[in-house]
Amino acid sequence: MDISKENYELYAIDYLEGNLSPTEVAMFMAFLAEYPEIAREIECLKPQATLELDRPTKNNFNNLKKDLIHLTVNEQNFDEMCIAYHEGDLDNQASSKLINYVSSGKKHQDRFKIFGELKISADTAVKFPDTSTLTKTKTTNVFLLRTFQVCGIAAAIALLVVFFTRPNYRSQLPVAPIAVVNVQPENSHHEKPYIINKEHRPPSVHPIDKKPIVGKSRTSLKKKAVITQKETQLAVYDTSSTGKDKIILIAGIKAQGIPSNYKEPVLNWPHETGQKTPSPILNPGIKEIKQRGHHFLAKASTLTVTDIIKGSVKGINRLTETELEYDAITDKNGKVIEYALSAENFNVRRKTRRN
Amino acid sequence: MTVAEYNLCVEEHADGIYRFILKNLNDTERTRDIVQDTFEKLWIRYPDVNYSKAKSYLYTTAYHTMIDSIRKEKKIADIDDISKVSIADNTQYSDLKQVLNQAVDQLPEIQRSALLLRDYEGYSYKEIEEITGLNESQVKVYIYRARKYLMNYLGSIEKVI
Repeated sequence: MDISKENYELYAIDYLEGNLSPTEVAMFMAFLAEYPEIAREIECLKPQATLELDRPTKNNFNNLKKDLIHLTVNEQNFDEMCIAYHEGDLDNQASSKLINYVSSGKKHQDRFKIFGELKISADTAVKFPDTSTLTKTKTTNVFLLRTFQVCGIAAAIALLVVFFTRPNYRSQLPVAPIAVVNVQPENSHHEKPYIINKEHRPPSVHPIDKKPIVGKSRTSLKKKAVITQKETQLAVYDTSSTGKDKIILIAGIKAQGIPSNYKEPVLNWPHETGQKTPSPILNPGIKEIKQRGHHFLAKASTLTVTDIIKGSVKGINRLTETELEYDAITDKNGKVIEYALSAENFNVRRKTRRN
Repeated sequence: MTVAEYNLCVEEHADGIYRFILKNLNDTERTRDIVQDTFEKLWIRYPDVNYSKAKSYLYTTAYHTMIDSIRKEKKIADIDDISKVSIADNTQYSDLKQVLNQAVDQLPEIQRSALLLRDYEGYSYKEIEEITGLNESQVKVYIYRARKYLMNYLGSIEKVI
């Protein structure tokens, strides 16, 4: 950077303090050679700068003597010395020298006094108009406060929207039909189906319970069912072992969706063959039904044989996915005198005991 | 610092900063804005500012905000642009303070700022160096030059006394 009249003072202090590099000193000296009046000004500042830098120390008495010798106050440096004095930049020795010089003439005294009055004092009547706008009363983060406010408003709006647009769930609740089992008295001429609600169709039987009825004697069915006059037992037996035409009936449909009070009675025709009640082999799945069957037993005496047969046929069809058909011959009084059960490969006709 | 200490800073330094900036700008609205900005900046960082250093922080912030404002308004003044106006007539001024204030208004802003920090708030060269970003030698030179200018502005001694 070149030294000019606009910036020489920045270099002057460093020059006087010996902080310029050799190159900069050479530049500054060249500048001073070009401007003699500035060179005289710098020359006047030299003793002052020397006084500020070379302050006497306990171990540098020679330097102290040297400073005392070179300390001079003159017309050229009087203003700077006065400024330095009033700024507090002079030590005691320099100050005393200046005071001695000032006391030598009234002109110096007046000028020295004026320099002392050049301090600018603030007008305390001038005040900030409204300091209350600067003070803070809360430590709440304004940003967070605004965020909470916005979230609160948004939550309130969202609640209002949900409240006024919520669906009517009550109208969507299903009305499940209730299956009613109607038990008819034994001598009733009017035979009604077990289930009043004909539209209630139990769902399909679980595949594990479905067994086909094959032919007259052969069957893969391993389950047995028996019913007696006195009580209803749920048992299973295998007709194949007897080689006889047996009706394999399974009581109690345990399938999903069937109401707990829905029962299908079982039928056993061991009496036709004279066979004693076979040993029941209870299927574990039917055991539970047997327990429920105790409730059914209480009503068994009100069932007619026809009711039992029809229910049994229905149960067989559902379990085995066959279309076993029931046919009955009644007398003039409406009582059944002969039964017939037939399927594709199955045909059984029996007369009632009375007959 | 705490919120209470922040409010103390407002009470203690708002007026001084306002006078300092107003003397530099001679514009009450801009001065008010600068003071507001200064204290807002302190509020943002008040947990990190030590109360004992708050005054220096405020003046430093105010000074730089003022300089930014001046540059924004494209009023960058040459540091050597001294209006060499002196009292050339025979008018006598009995109010020295008024004359000095007029002279201060003529100073370049850097010299004026340094002089005001020195006289208004009594800052040392070192403290002014920290506030203005100048080095200590520069601060001293500017103050010396400002004093000389004020002296010259006053004219002859006979016109003042």
